[in-house]
Amino acid sequence: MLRFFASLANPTRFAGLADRLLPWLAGATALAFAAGLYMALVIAPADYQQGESVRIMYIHVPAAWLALGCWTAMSVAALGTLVWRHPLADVAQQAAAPVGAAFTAVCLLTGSLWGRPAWGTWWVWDARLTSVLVLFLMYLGVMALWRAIDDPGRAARAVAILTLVGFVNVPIVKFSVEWWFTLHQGASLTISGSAIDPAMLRPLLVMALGYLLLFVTLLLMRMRTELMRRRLRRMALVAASGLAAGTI
Amino acid sequence: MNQLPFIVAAYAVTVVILGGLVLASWADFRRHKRLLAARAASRDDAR
Repeated sequence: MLRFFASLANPTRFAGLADRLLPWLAGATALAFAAGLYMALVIAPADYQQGESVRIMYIHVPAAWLALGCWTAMSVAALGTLVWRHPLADVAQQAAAPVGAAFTAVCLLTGSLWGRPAWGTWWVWDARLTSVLVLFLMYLGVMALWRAIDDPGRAARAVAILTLVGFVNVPIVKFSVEWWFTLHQGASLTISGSAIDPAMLRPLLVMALGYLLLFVTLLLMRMRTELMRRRLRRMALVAASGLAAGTI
Repeated sequence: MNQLPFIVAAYAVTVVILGGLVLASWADFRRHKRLLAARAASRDDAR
């Protein structure tokens, strides 16, 4: 595995691999979403307590998983920047932040739209909801920090430190429903088992697969774009320095 | 309470956010690819 990541240290090799994988990943994402949406909206039954609003869970829960998963992936990339100095680690961090922010926004908004009919309120300042809002604000902070520092090397190190510090919030989000008394329900799906009926679990897992494939597709596409942007910047700098040398 | 408007709104919000991100990322990807190709072509012409 480590050897595979080391082999991707060459941006040209990574770009070639991304170009080959992207059409397949996009196709698989579309298929997973088509199957997941059909199962979630047509096949899955209504819940005996929540009624039809349980269908919001099929888009809300995977968004929450990916919101946390994306920050975890960014934290691994931050270690890649600070410890292993992998040349693509900061590219991955920069590419992943807007994707994570989008998943977190989906999680917050769909949760609010589920909360109104289920709890009778759009929002409560309980531990789970507040910690997810903090996660969203941290994604915005990372994106702002990238733009605030001109030198890409310094920006990468600053963002990596912020990401690792912010990782403290990931277990807080995960275990907030156990550590504090919250309106939000506890985890229904754990490693040891599931409290969800298989008729509802299947669409949830297929939708989660769709979200995961979308995350990987967007990450590769945005990393590829960032590599092209950096190459264009280098070419512009070389051209500008050539012009400057010509005028001296 | 009629739950249908909440379900429709939740799915619509998801499509707008994730669909918007996909379209923006794809447009950015295509634009940079075009720019890089144009820059490489102009460099070849200069040679």
